[in-house]
Amino acid sequence: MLSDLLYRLRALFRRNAVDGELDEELRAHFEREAEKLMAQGLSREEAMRQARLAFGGFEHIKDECRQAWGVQWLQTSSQDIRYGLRALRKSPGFTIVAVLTLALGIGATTAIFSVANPVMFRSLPFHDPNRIMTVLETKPAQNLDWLWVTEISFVEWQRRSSVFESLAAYNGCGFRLPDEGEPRFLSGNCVSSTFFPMLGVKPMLGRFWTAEEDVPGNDHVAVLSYRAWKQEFGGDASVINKEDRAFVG
Amino acid sequence: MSNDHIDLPQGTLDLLILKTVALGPQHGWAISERIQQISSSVLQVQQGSLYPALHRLERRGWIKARWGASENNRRAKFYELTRTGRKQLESEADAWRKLALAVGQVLDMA
Repeated sequence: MLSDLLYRLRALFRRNAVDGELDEELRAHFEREAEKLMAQGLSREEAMRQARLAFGGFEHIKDECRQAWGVQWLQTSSQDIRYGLRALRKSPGFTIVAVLTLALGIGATTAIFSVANPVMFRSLPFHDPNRIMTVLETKPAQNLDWLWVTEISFVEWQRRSSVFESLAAYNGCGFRLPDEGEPRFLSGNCVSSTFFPMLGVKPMLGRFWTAEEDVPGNDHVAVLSYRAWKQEFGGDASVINKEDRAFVG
Repeated sequence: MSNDHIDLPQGTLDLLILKTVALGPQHGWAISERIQQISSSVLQVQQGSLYPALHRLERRGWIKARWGASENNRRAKFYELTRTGRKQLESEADAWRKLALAVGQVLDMA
């Protein structure tokens, strides 16, 4: 409720005024009570004493009222925090060690996570990423694994294995662009024709190559990344389909 | 001071304050006196619970406070009933009457 919030804000930020008002209010009550008792015939001292008794503890009532304002927890927490800070200031050695430990822990965790997140946790931006795997060879006799696969093995697997829906091969390759005057080198990958269909991507312009073009001698086909297209050919769309080039976005 | 006074059960102080204030703006002492008078001194308001109750009711928006001059020209904090306070008073008074009736019926059974 709005009035509740406003009340609490006032108790928080106009604390001195609110406290002063409380004091004045209680004092007025006390005096009025004493007056009443005096009117009943008691002496001034006796009236004050009885009024004080009837009232109970001043400070206790004030505390209860402050509780009713609903911001005490904030006051006590901030007091506790300030006390904690003072204690820390008194033992600087401990504080420095604690701060460094925290900084190291947070920094290391953040660094590791920012590396691990794209590598391990974020899924590949391809179709059905959980089913995409890397298949490698092992040589148990020599306790080796994570071995790159030869082309022969790949072709054999494609032909004979029924475990996988589709197999694609990829390899790091360098490319030389010959017809722009001075030769330029681009880094890229050599992939089998099954590569792009497996990932479920579609070319922005042109097409990917087919299985027939997967054979040596027939493989004058290339797919340019969007960035390479922009950089090397200035985004010229006529470059596509010239000498069987296809582009992907 | 009367000896046969009854301690107010929990929660009824709010109801009595709201009712007292419904009759017109009052300051804390006057509210306490009024309740005592009307109930023929059976109900003695503990000063220790009066002011926390008043502040709590003010926070919930059922009464609102204003500083003004009391009967002897002293500065006092007057409380008056708000619109939501009036609704709250009605519903609480209603609940109280139902409760009192029901308890009475149980106590009166032979």
